[in-house]
Amino acid sequence: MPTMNDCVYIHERIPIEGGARGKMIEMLRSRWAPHVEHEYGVRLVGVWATVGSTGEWPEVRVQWEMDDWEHFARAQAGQYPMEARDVYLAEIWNQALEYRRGGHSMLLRPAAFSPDLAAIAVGDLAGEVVLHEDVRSLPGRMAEYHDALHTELLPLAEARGLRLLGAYEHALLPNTGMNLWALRGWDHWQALMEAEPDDAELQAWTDRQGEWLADIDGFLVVAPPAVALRT
Amino acid sequence: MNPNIYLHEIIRTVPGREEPYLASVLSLHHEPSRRGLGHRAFAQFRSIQTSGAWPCGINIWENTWAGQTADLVGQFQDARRDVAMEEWWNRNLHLRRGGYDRLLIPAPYSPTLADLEARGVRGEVFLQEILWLPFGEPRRYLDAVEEQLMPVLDRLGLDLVGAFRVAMRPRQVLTILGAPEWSRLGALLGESSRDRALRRWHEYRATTVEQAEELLLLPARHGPLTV
Repeated sequence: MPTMNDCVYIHERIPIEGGARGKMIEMLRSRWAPHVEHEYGVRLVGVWATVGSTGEWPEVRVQWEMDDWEHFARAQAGQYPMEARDVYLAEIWNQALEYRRGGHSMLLRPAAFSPDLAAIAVGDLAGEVVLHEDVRSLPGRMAEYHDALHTELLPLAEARGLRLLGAYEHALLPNTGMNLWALRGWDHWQALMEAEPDDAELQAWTDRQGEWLADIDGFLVVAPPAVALRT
Repeated sequence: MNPNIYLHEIIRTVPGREEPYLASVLSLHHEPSRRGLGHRAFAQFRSIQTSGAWPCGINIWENTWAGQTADLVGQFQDARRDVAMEEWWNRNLHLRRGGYDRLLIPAPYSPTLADLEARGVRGEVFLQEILWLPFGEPRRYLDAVEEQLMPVLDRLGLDLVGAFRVAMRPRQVLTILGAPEWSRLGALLGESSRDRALRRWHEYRATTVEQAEELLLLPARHGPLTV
């Protein structure tokens, strides 16, 4: 795991129109991501379907990685305004109106211990099922929360087979953050859920989070196999 | 001890299409190819313009972690497609626009579907509350529901339909009360300042609950709890 991660991330929440969740994911994977990586060096961290049984539906999540703020600025300046600077992106953006009308994006900076995409690949950290946590800290306590997450929660989580994909804070909104944890698969999630009521160590951590956090909401996102999603 | 878990769905229905949507959901569970799936319809409700956000429909399914996991594997892996579900989903887009789901972990005393059926629980109106509590408080809150609120419900002739923690959302609690008649809900609300036990309950709530969303709900016409 790197000691410092200087990357910049954009995380997008995309509400889906009707039954187009799979189509939106396929477009992002097969057309959007290869284009922005080739043209701007922007890397796809992941594209996921939100597991509706655990949160908002229908919804797609996508996350992009850039090297640093200089790369971020260069990549955004290269793309926008799309109509003037990137006719291909403008075209698929408009094609995707059939699948989505809007969305909400977060500009994120990682905690120092948060792995970048290269470290995720080297460590084989990614997984099909991911626990996404939206974090709201008490005023001014995000850094302390990240310290505690690193030194206290991470060992507990890793002992239970969870792998940290990312811990971030919002670059613009204070006291707002996000965590991503990779699970080994559905059986792993089932085992974690079945064990939760009697897991005293995790229960103690959960209850202690009030020292740093105003709230934390977890839900699952999934990277489905190609063309698996028809809804 | 209730060994189940519950999938709780709040559906943003197309306005005016609440009952057709809820009926279409139930119809899916009569599909021959889907018989034998683990989940059972625990409750179905629709919103009214009396308290809380509207319009919406609510489905609650009783399941186990193993059954819920199997449902999700069928949904997200190509190896176990649920074709009937896929076709139903895409055919009913004119009835609903989206939704928000939670997985619920029942308090030990929270009734199962079999418990509700055995007691013949039915209602004209139901009160659902989603509460945000301080970290560490949800289990104590559910204990207080059992110790402080349930005796009052018994006395006033209301039923506890469910009392739950929310999986992966450690500050949240969800409770559902049922009233066989509107008058009993009126009595519960009317007694809140007169009844000593209810006053104590509301004092606890007032000093503990940090955020709340309430819904007064009707049972779905074809749902399990309809009078």
